[in-house]
Amino acid sequence: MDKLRALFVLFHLVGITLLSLPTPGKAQDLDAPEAAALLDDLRALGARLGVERSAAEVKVIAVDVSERIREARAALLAPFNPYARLTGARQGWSMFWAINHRPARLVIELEGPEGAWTPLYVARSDTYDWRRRELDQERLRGVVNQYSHLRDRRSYRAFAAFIAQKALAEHPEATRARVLMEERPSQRPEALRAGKTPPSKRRWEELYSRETP
Amino acid sequence: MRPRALAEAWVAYWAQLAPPTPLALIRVALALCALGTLAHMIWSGVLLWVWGDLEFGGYRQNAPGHWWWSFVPHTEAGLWGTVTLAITAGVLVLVGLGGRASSLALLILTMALTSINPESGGGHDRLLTNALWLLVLSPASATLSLDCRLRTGAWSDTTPRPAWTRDLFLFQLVLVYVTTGVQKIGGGDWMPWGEFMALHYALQLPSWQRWDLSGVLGSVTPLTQLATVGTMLFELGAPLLWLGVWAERHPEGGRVVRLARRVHLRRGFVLAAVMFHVGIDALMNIGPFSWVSMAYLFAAFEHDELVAAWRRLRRQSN
Repeated sequence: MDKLRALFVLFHLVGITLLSLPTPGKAQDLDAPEAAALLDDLRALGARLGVERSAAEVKVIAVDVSERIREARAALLAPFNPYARLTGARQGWSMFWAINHRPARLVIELEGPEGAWTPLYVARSDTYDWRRRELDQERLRGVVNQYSHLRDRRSYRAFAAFIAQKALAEHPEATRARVLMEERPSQRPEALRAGKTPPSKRRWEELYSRETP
Repeated sequence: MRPRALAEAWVAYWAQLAPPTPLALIRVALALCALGTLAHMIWSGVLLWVWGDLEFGGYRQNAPGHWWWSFVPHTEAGLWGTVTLAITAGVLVLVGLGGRASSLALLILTMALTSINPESGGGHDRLLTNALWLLVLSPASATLSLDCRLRTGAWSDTTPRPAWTRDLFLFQLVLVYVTTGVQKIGGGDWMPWGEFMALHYALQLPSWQRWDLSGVLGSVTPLTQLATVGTMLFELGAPLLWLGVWAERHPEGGRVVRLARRVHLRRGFVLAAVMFHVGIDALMNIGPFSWVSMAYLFAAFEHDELVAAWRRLRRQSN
């Protein structure tokens, strides 16, 4: 029994250690702003060390290296994946490793009978706080976080349609609802001290009327 | 050391026995985390939004991947039934009734529920299911439990039992800290060339910020930079927790062990971990990650220390 346990512990420790190794991104992941910034940093570091490469070359190298690592990782993990799936011992701890400098926040607006649009909900706002208890809940923050990175438009559309219909149902005077992600660059300390509000971009704007299914 | 002797030492190490008090406290803390997560979803009214389906209150068509849903239909009744069972299992784990079976039930039900909509989950779900699996492997309801009361007539039982999962809890926690720390090296904001501005920017992320700190952040840059450096040092230095625990358990060791004991390495690390997690939770809303992480920390202590701490607490409160 002791030997079996010791063997199991060895399997578990090796398995979770290998599973916790980060998965390199796919080619399309390298287009994300955080990844692009990292590649820029690497290019600058290379230049400082005397290895000059264009941005396109750095990207090709990164894609090639990450594909090789992904293949090797998949082969290494094959014996451990079923164990992790079955027991909940999945790993993956890439928390806040690359901070999004252009985060987008969820905004919901309603159109009144005179055609004027007013905000109903703005993420983390104390003024526009419709359904805040739900929309500030941690699991919904997780859902909206991927839209904050402008990822998964399909899921976003489903969510936007859902929340827009709820808003319209609770505001019979409204004629239409608009859901969007307001992208606003994070600010450096000096800009914050100056009280400047950076220009924002309205992204992923979706319009819903009561008729919209 | 020869391979055979190494293998024997390995087998002997994992066969050690100890009173299961630390494991029981982890059990109680994890049950509270699991129950708290479900209760907060119900109280906030998002349970159906997130885990429902387009046909019954959800925002999207969900196709839960866990085998549970092959037996229980993913309908409103099926979902609420599963949540009710999870709460029941959570209460059983909390009071320590049903032994490992209750932990297994809570693990399966947590995995089933969090599989419904993976985009609403995150590290806290994985950290919780990892811990629940280790609870299944632990004699965690052997003391401070109804099982103990029914078996012995007392609430606590200090009979030494297999203690190997304590080290697996610690290994898991250190693995989380180290791997996340290593990955942060690749994110420029955590490093000198990013001016250690990671926390300055992280606290501006609308997805996770608990408070709008834009009025303060501009004036406390040295503090956020220091906290960024501190986070990196803490995460990358997490293996020191093993050294600290080892030193406390094997005081007969050499110079390194003596030094670790002299500087109270283990207690220092645990204190840093608690400050780290309380700090995160005060400034950011990232779910129960901090609380689940802190539950793991009971594994760093021995039964006698926990009893002594409990007595001190009681004396102070009287």
